[in-house]
Amino acid sequence: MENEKNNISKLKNRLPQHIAPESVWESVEEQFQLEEQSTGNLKQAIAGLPVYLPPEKAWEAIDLSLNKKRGLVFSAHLIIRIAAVLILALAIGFLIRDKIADEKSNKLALVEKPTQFNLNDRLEMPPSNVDIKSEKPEASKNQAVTKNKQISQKKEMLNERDAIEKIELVTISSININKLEDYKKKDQTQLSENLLKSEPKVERKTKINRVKLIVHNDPPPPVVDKRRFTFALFRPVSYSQPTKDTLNRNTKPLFAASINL
Amino acid sequence: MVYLNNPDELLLVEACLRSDRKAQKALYEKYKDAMYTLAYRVLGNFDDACDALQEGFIQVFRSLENFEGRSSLGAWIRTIVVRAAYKKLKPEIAFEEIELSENSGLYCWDDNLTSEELERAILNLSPGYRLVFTLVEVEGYKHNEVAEMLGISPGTSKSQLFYAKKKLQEELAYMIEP
Repeated sequence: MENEKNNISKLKNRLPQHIAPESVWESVEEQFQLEEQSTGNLKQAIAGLPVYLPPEKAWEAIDLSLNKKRGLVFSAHLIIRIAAVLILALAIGFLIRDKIADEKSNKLALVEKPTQFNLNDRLEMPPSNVDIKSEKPEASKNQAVTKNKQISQKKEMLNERDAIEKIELVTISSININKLEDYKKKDQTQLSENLLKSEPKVERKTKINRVKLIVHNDPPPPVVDKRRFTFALFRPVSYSQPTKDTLNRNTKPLFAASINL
Repeated sequence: MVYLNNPDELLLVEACLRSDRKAQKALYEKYKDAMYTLAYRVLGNFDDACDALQEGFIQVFRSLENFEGRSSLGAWIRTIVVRAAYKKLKPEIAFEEIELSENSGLYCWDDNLTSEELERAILNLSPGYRLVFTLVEVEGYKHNEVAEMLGISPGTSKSQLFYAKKKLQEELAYMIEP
């Protein structure tokens, strides 16, 4: 086997080597050149292909479509801004409402409840331990002058309170006001009749039309918010010298009622 | 986020993203002619080319935020316009993979070949040949890019180009000889 291989290799080396003719390369080169030229011709023709201009309506259609998008974006922005402004306005509104409610409650707190002391104060009652009959006439005169001054001051205070109460009454619904007025009229007529019958000697300096309305702001129950309106009818304020009888009588209201709303 | 080497194009893209009408018009003006010509060459008539141009540019402005700048802006727009044109042409095209003959690649384009003649010959080609010839020879796409864009194999793209060229030469010979 080894001898055979050696013989073949020797024979290979002895084989003649031929030289390629020049014409072959020439033809290949010619072919390449032809192809290059052909491609060049094509490329040249392609480079010279015309460029076309699109009509104006093409942009109009694109712009219209983009405008819709722009419009949508603008609308979305506008809606967001309006919503933000509304939310802000609502928040401010709630804040103002709370503030007004606080102010109202403060005003109501200023209006004192009809305590025993208050009633005495209103009716200008002397302290209970003072003996009226034992006072001297001059001292009583001075006291009367000072009392008159105090009375005028307190009248003003009471007027202010009444004004505050009137403001509060405005907020009550019309139905409740009508009801209150009915009560007021009814009780006034009864009161005036009673007074005329019972104490004809007492000099009346004020009219019997004073109805004291006090609005209590009870602390709200956990679930339902209720407001109770209490109103009371007092005897007429007399600035004449009070007697023990009138003193006892005037400390209690003639009529008191409350409405739960 | 857009990464572009050209600062002018970057500014233009950013302005377009803010829905700036002037910037959008400027971008359209910059590429409209090339894209319209491409669409016309692919579709073979001006009306369809106009439609493809509109659809393409609307798509460009809508998806500009997705442009990452991996290619040039012009190449990205061109791809979108080609796809818009191909969408219109698709019902007319049925690509078939044809085996290439042994002497493929040997063409002879006449020295006197003019652009007008070539244009006419291109427009006379069937839609599939016209599309591939335009994309490869005129627009300079590679076969794998064309294959990806049209959803065909690179072999199909090559065979379509071969037969397109063959058909073109026949058309040109017919036009020149008489």
